[in-house]
Amino acid sequence: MRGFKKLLLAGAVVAVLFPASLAAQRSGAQAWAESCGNCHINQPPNRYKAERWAIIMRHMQIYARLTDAETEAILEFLQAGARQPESAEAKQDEGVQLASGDPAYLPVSSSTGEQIYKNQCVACHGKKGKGDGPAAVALNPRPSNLTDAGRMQELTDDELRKVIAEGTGSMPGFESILKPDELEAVLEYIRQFTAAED
Amino acid sequence: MRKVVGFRGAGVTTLVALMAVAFAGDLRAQGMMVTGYADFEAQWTNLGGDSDSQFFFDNHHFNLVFLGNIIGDLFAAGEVEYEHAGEEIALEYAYFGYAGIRNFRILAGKFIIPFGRFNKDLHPSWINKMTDRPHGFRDIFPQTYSDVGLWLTGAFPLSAAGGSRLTYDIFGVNGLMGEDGGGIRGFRGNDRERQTNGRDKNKAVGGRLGLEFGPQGFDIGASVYTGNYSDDNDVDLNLTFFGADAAWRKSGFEIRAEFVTADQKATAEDLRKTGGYAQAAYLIKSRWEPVLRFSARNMPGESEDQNRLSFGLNFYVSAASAVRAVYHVNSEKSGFETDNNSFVLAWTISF
Repeated sequence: MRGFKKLLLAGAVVAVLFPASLAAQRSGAQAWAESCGNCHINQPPNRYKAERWAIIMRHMQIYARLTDAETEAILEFLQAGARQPESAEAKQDEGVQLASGDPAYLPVSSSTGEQIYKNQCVACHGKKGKGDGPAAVALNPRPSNLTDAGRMQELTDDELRKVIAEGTGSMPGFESILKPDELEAVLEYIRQFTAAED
Repeated sequence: MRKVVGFRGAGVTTLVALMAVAFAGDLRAQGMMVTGYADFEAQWTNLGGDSDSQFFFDNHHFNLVFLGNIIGDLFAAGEVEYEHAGEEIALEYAYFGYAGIRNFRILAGKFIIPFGRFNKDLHPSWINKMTDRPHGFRDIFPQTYSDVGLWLTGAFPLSAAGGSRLTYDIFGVNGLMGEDGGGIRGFRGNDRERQTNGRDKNKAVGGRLGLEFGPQGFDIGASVYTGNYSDDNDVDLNLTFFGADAAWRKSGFEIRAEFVTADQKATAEDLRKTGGYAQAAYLIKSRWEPVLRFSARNMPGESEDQNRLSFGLNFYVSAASAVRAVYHVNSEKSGFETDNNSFVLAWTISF
């Protein structure tokens, strides 16, 4: 038991030595990036439908040892980017073309680049593309500033496609998540961040 | 080899009950889902040894996981594991619980013992960065060890903003049971005989306390388990595990380590067994991941001591699937070498 007490004491000391983290605001995207990635590769929000994420998160809270607030924040983040309902009515309303047999694909073939960006990119790159999304603080290297005209002009479309598809640094690749037309749509949307400044 | 419990016992009863309740409820409001993981392995063993090397295929796991949100704050879960192409069919866990109290969960039934990280969190083949368990979590702590009892778990934020938290797990279970001075791995099981033969009156208790610092990617924990494993000859024989774990992640780089020690009372001579591992991995562009692991075990006497150095390379086909190649280099510390190295190529998925 003496050894166990020493370990607890060491834990308390470490808690005191990390005061900066105690004041850090933590969004669902951050908690998702940090906590889920603690054990396994982060699963994309659109892997499951919203109601399934609710079931999964209630149980994953136990395995990831999350607080209730963190669990609720992660669930909100995941459900925001969750797969859309597969009902015939929903398909008709949204022009849904489900990618059969591949749950990783976004279900909305006609999604605009903006929609895809909000679902997949905003957590890290931020609403306005400045690389200041809620998950950015947890990532190293930090997400790129997509409004940096000089940097963006250096990148050809082919280079950007490659980054989106394969990932770079701490950014995951999306080629298993986005279909080619969706990748083009989000590429076009990203370009508009600097187009306004041209 | 793991003892096969089959579809018997309290755990199975719990699983059947939870399924019945879940399907009787409103699936749209609450719901239940079936998920799981599976893997296929090609193994080459005894490489470089005196005897012939062996090669075989294995469907090591095809495990079905049931998750249910029943009514209100009641939930339940179970996992039926089909291992080695169905040669071993067992109930990994089957519990139900209540989540109505902030940052507090109470679970009852059969659950994986929350000792350290590997036993509960990291062992599934789609999560484990290697294709096997490290030393320390086979012959010392008998991973995967699940048992029947009560489990209290939760986490408290260390500030209102979150980001860092104190985590806790406290459990009371039937406990491991076996012969005086025997091998711990054979102590698992919850068959009815051990409930009625009067040998297992002393339950086991334990838990884990952890600190997690999300923004820094750092976490540490300390675990304990203690209980009598035998009262042969009317002498209570205690078995106590202590464990420590730590992990650090940054920019795709991850280092983790766990250490476990077992103090096993025995009539002839008390036994001390220690083991653990350190593992480093680097995820490159979300696809490639080289992994290096060193693990070791120190057993009473030296004949079972062994160091293992494992080299792995993972390729993530997607977030739900990986191909793993692992080469194990084993070295005995007893003065002789068996050269029982091995190579495993595995394809694993979560579904």
